[in-house]
Amino acid sequence: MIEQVLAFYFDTIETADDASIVITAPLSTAHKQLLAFKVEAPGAEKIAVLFDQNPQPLIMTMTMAINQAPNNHGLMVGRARLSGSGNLHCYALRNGVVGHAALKIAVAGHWQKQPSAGNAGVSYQTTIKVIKAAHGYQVMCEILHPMQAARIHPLTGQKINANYITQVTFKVNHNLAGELLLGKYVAKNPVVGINIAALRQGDEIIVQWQDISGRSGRASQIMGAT
Amino acid sequence: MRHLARKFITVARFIGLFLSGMIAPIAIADSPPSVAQIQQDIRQFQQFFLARFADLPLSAYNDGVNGLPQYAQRRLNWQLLMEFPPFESAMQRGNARWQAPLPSARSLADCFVGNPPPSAYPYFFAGKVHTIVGDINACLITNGAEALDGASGDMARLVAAYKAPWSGERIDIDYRSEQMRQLYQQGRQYFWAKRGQMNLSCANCHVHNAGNQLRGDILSAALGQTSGFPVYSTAWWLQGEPMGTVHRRYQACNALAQAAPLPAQSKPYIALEIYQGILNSGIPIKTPGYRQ
Repeated sequence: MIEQVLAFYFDTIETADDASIVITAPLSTAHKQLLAFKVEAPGAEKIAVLFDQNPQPLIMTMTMAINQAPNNHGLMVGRARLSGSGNLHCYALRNGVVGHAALKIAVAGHWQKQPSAGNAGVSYQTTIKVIKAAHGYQVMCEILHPMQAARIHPLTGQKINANYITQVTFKVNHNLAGELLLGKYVAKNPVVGINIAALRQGDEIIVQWQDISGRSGRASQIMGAT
Repeated sequence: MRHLARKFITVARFIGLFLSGMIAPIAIADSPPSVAQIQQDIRQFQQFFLARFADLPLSAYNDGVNGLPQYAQRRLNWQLLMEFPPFESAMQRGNARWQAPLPSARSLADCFVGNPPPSAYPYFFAGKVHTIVGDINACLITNGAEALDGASGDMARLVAAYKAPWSGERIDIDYRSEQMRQLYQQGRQYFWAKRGQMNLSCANCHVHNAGNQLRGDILSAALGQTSGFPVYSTAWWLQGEPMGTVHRRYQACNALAQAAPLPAQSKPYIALEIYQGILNSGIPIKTPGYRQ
C-alpha cells in the first residue's frame, strides 16, 4: 500500500534514509486520542506522511510552491487518527531523491467505536493562525469539519457517506504557497499548517479547502505588524 | 498448651486490630476541623505530591496529567495541540455569550462585576455558599433567562469565559467560616470514602496511584485537579461536547468507578470542589485546560 502511494505521488518507490527529516510526535498515545504531528524537511519540494498500520496508510501530503524555493523550509502540521501501534513514515522529495524517516508510535488501550454526531450542526468555519517560527512563519488553519470516512453506523446500522476534506490550498496575495492533499485518516476538525518563508505586513493569507462531497470553504487574514 | 496460648494471643490481637479499626472512624469528630488543622492538611497533602513527583514545582500542577513525568512520552501531543488549541472556537462562543445581553438587557459580565476573582471561588457569603456555576445560574434566572445544567457544555464555556482572563491567579479560598470548614469536612469524607461496585475512593486512584498506568491511561494527581477546569477533553469531544465543568468530571469519575453519578451542583460535589480547591491553595489557575 505504501508503495502505491509513493508511486502515485513521487513517481518512484526508491527511497533513502534521511537524517535531516525531523518528525515531532509523541512516542505513545491512547486509542481515543488524535495524534498531533509536525514534520520538517528543510528544502523539500514534496512531503508525504503515512502510517503503516492504518487500513489506508496515506495521512497527508504537501507540495510547496515553486516561488518559495530559495528559502523553503518544508514543514507540515496535522492531526491524525491511528488504528493501532505502528510507524509514522515521512517521505520528502529533494533534488530528485526521496528521503525517508520513521517514528515508532505505541497506541495504548482499546479501539472504541464512537457513535458519530454526523454532519448536523457542523459550521464548516475556517480560522487562520500565524506563528513566528525559526524559518519564517508557521501558518495553520482550523476547519470545523466532520471528516467522516464511509462506514456503517455502529448503533443504527445505517450507511454513512464519506465526507472528508481532500485538498487545502495556502495562498499569499493570490500566489500559491503550498498545497495539501488529505486522506481520510486526518482527525475531525482538522488543524493543518505549512511553513511560509517570507511574509510582510499587509500580505493577505488565503486558505481554501474542498471536500469529497463538493463543499468548499475559504478564509483570509491580512498579516499584521510583526 | 503453649500452642493454644499463642493462638489466643493471635486472636486477641486480631480482635484488638478490628476494634481499633472500628473505633477510628468514630474518633473523627463531626465538628468541623479548625483553621490550623486545615492548614496542616494542605501542607501534608502538597508535601506528599511534591515528594512523589520530585521535579515538579507546585505551580506546574495546573496542567493536570500533562505535567506529570510519567506522561513524558505523550506530552508532545499536548504541546503540539497547544500551538492551535482546539478550544479556541469554544472560547469565542463562551465569551460572546458572556457579553451578550440577557432578556433584562444586563449581561453575565455585568452580574459578575464586584464578585470575587475565580481563584477565590467557592466562597461563603450572606448565609450561603457561592460557586461560579451557582452564581451564573442565579444571574440567568434573575435576568429572565433559563438556568443551565451545571455539567453542560454551555455552562462550561461560560465558566471558562469568566475564569480565562484570571489565568495565573493563585487559588486562595477563604475557609475561616464554620460553614466552609463544615463543607471541607464533608468533601474530605467524600474524597477518601470508597464507593461504587469497584470499591474505589477518589484517593485510591489520584493519591495512592497518581502517575501509575491504568490500562491505556495515566492517572492524574489529585493536587491541582480543579485549577484547570473547565477543560476541553478529547474523550468528551468524541462524545459530541468537548467542554466540561469539574462536576461533569466528578460524574464521569463516579461512572468509571461504577457508582451512581450525582447531579451537578449537588451538595456532595460542591463539598468535594471546596475540599479540592482548598488543598490546591497556591496553585495558579489555568483555564481552559486540555485533558485527554
